Amino acid sequence: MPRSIARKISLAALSLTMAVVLTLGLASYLFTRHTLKEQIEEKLSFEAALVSHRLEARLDNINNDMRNMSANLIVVNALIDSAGREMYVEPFLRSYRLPRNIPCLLTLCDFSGKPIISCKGAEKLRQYSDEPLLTQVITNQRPLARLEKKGTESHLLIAYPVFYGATGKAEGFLALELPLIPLVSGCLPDVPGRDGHIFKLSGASGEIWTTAKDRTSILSTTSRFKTQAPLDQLALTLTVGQSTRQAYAPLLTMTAIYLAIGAMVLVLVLGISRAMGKKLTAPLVALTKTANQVTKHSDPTSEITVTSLDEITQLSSSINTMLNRLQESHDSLEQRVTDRTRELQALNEKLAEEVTERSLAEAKTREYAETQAVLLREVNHRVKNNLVAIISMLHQEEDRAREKGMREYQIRVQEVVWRVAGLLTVHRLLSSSEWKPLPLNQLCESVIKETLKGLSASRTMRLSVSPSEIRVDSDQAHSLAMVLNELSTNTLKYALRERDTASIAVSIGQQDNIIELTYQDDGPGFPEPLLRGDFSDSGIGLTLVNGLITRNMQGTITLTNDNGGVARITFPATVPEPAS
Amino acid sequence: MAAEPAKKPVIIGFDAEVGHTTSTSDDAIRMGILTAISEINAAGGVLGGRPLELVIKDHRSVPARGIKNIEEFAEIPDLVAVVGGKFSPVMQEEVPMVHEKKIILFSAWGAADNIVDNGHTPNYCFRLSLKDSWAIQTMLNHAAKKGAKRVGVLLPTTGWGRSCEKAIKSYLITHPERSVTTVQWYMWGDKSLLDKYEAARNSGAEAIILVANEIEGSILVKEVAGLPWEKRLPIISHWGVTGGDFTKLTGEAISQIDFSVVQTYSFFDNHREQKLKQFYKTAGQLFKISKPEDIPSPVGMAHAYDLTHILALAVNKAGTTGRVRIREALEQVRNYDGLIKSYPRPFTAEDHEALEPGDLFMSRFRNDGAILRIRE
Repeated sequence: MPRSIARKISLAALSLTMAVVLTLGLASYLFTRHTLKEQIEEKLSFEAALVSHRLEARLDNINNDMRNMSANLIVVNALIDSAGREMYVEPFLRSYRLPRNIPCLLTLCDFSGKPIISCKGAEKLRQYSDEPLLTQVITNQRPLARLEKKGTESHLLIAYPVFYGATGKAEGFLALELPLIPLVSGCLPDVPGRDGHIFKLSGASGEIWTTAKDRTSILSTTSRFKTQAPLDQLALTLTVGQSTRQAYAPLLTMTAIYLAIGAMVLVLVLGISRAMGKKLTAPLVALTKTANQVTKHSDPTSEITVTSLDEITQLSSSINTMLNRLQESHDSLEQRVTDRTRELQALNEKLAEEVTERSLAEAKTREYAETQAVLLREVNHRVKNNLVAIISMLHQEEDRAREKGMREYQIRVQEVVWRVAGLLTVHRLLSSSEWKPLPLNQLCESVIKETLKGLSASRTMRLSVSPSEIRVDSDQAHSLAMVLNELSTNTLKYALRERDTASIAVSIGQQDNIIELTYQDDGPGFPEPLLRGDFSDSGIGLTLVNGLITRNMQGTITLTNDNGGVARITFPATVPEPAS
Repeated sequence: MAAEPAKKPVIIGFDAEVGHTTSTSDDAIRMGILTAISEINAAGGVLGGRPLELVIKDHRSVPARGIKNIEEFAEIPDLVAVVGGKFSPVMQEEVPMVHEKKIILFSAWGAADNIVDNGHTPNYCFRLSLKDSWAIQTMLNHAAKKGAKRVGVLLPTTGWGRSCEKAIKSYLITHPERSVTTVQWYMWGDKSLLDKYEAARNSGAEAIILVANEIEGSILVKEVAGLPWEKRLPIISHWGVTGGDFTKLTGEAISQIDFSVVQTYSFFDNHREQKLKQFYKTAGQLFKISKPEDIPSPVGMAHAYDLTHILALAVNKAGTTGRVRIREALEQVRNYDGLIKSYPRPFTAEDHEALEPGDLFMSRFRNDGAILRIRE
C-alpha cells in the first residue's frame, strides 16, 4: 500500500527523534548509573571502614584487656592458691565489663582446661580442654582466638595463657567467651539498614552473620580487619552492601521522568512533522491530481497549474513540456499506424487469393492421390488375383499331368507353380508396403518359406536368415524373389533325395555400396560346370537366376561347394542404409 | 648356683616443685629420701628383700598439676606412699584426691595445718615437719623476746597464708598482751613488698612476721636493707625462705637487717653423732655431702630421711604394699631412732604429726647461706 510523503516525513522525523531520544537517554542512563555506583561504592567503602575501625578498636580493647588480665597477679596467684581464691578472683573476673554490657563468660582454667573459677562463680563453669586450644595456649604458650557456633549464634573465644613466674611457663589460661553479634551490632550505625545498607561479617570459614535477607543483586565493598594477634587468626572481614534495587531507585525515578518527557517530545514531533509534511506535499498532491486526470482521460493536453515557487514548479513545468512532447509523439504514431494498417489490408487480400488457389490445388492433388491409391490397390488386387488364378490353373494342369502319368511335365508345371508363387509372395510384400523398399531378410524368409510349403509332412527343412537392416527396391525384390525361389527349389529337389532333414542358411551383409547375400544348404552341392560359371548345361532355373542377377540387378553370382551348395550373390545397393 | 631373680620394687612417690626455678627444698627432700632408701635397701629392703624405689613427679608448685600427679601415682602398682614438697597450697588441694585414691601423703615440708588436720577419717595424711600454728607461735614468741609486742604481718594470698593467719588469730587469743598491728596480703609474683612493709611499719609494728618463700622473702630483704637503719624492723620469717638459695637471692642485704627464721633441725648442732655419721656416710656416697654447708634446705633432707625410714618400718609392719594396711601400720610404728630425734611413737591414730612444738627453734642466716640456731 503506497504511503504518502507526508507520512514518510512524519515517520522519518519520528524515527530520528526517537533515535536521538533513545541515544541521549541511554547515554544519560549509563553515565548516571556509573556515577551513582561510584558514589554508592565510595559511601559503602567509608561505611565499611568506619564500622571496621570501630569493631577493630573494640576487639583490640578486649584483646588488650585479656592480655592484661592474664598477666595480673590476682589471676596468676589464683592458679597456685587453693581454698579462698574465690574471694578475690571472682570479684576480679566479675568486675570485667564488655561495652554495652554484652554478656560474657570469663573463666580461669588450669593447665588441663579444667575451670577454676569464672565470673559467674561456680554456677557456670565450662571445660576448655580441647586439644587444639591446649596445644596453642599451654604447650605453645601463645594466645588463641577462634569462633564457635552455639546454636544459631557465633561466639568469640579468646584464651590467654597465664604465666607463673616461678616456672616461667603457662600453668593455666584465661578464657573469654562472648557472643559476637551484639558486639558487631554495637558498632553499626544507630539505625542499621536506615540507608538500606546491608552488613555481613565473615571469618576464615565463611559467613558469620549478616543483616541481608535477600543476597541477590548487591553492591558491596569489603574491609579486612587489622586486629592484633591472636584476633588476626580469625581473618575477619566486614562487607557493607546495598541492594541494587534500592541503590538505583533514584535512577529508576529519573528514567521514568525521562521516558515521560521523551514520549511527549515524540508526540510533539509527530504532530509538527505531520503538519509540515502536509504543507510541503500540497503542491505534489495537486500535481498528482492533474497527473491522474491526464491518465484517466488520456488527455495529455491538460496543463498542470502550480503556484508554489520551489522545485515542484520546475517539476510541473517539466511535466507540461513532457505532456506536449507526448502529444506530438502520439499524433505521429497514429499516422504511422493508419498507413501500416492500409498496407496490411492489401497484403491480406492477396494472401487470401493465394490460399484459395492452393486449397484448390491441394484438393486436386489429394483427389489424384486417392485415385492413384485406388488404382494401385486395384492393380495389386488384380495382379494378385491373376497370379492366384495362374497358380490355380497351373495346379489344374499339374493334376491333369499326374492323372495322365506325365511325370516330367508335372514336375515342370510344379516348378512353374513355385516360381509364380514366389512372384505372388513378393507381390504381396510390395503391396502391403505400398511398393516401398523391403527389408531383405524379411523378403528372403517369406520367399523361402513359401517355397517350403511344398514340402511333404514327413520331411523337415531348417531355415535360418541372419538379421539385417538392409532394404531393397521393388525391382531388386522381384529379381531376388525369383532367385531365392530357384535356389530353395533346388535345395528341395536335391538336398532331401536320400534323407528327411536338411537346412538352409541365408546371411546378408553390405560392404560399401555392395550388398552380399549368401545362400547355403547342406545338400550335395552344385555340379562341377556350375562351379566354373558354366550355366550352359544347367536347368532353366539356374540359368534364369544367372540372368536375373547379372542383367536385371547388375550383380554377380558365385557358386561354390562347402558341405553343401553355396551361392554368393552381390549387387549394388539402391536404397540408402537407415540411420543408425 | 643361679642368681636369684630381682624382686619387685616397692615404690615411693615424690610429688614436688621440681620445675620451680629457685626452689632447693625439692632437691633436699629427694636427697633425704634417696639417702634413706639407700640405707634401707642396703639393709635388705622391705617385705623380705624387696627394694624401695623412688618415682618423682613435678607439680611446679601448681595445685592442679599436683592433683593430676596424685591421680597418676594411684595407678602405679606397689606404690606405698607419696611424699609432698614445700608448697602447702598444692598439698591442701591434693587432700581430697589423696583420700579418694587412698594414697598415703607425707608432708616433709608443707606446713599448713589443714594438710593433716583435714577432717578425714581415716586420715591418709602424715607429717614429719612443722605446722603453721607451731611456727607462728615460735615466731611470735621470738618477737616477744626481742621486745616486739606489736607486730605487723605479711602473708601470701594462698592457703598457706590463710593457714598462718588462722594460727596468728589463735595465738593472740591465748596471748592477749601481744598484738598484730596489721595483716598485709601480697600476691605471689609481686615485684615489691615495700608498700606492705611500710604499711606495717606505719601501723606501729615493732617487728615484721613474714610468711614467704625465697623469692618474695628476698625481695623484701633487699628492699628493707635499702631503707635507713631506723626504718629497718626485725623480720621474723617462716621457713619458706629456706626452701631456696636465699642468701644468693638476697646477697649482702641479708647481713644488713635483723632477719631470723624458724627451723626444726640443724646439722650444725646435732648431738646424735652415730646417726649423723651413718647419714653422712650414705649421703656422701650418693651426693658427695660431708658437712652441713653442703646440704641445701637442710630441714627438708632431715625430715625426708627420717620419714622414709619410718615408712619402711610401717611397710614391714604391714607386711604388704596395701596402703590401707600401711596407713594403719604407720600409726603403730614405735621407737624409731632417727636423725632429728628419737621417735618413741611417730604417729598415733589421733596424731599424725611426727614432730612437736618443742622441736622448733629460731635461726639466722650466715653470709654463706648456712642456717645457724639462735641461742636464746
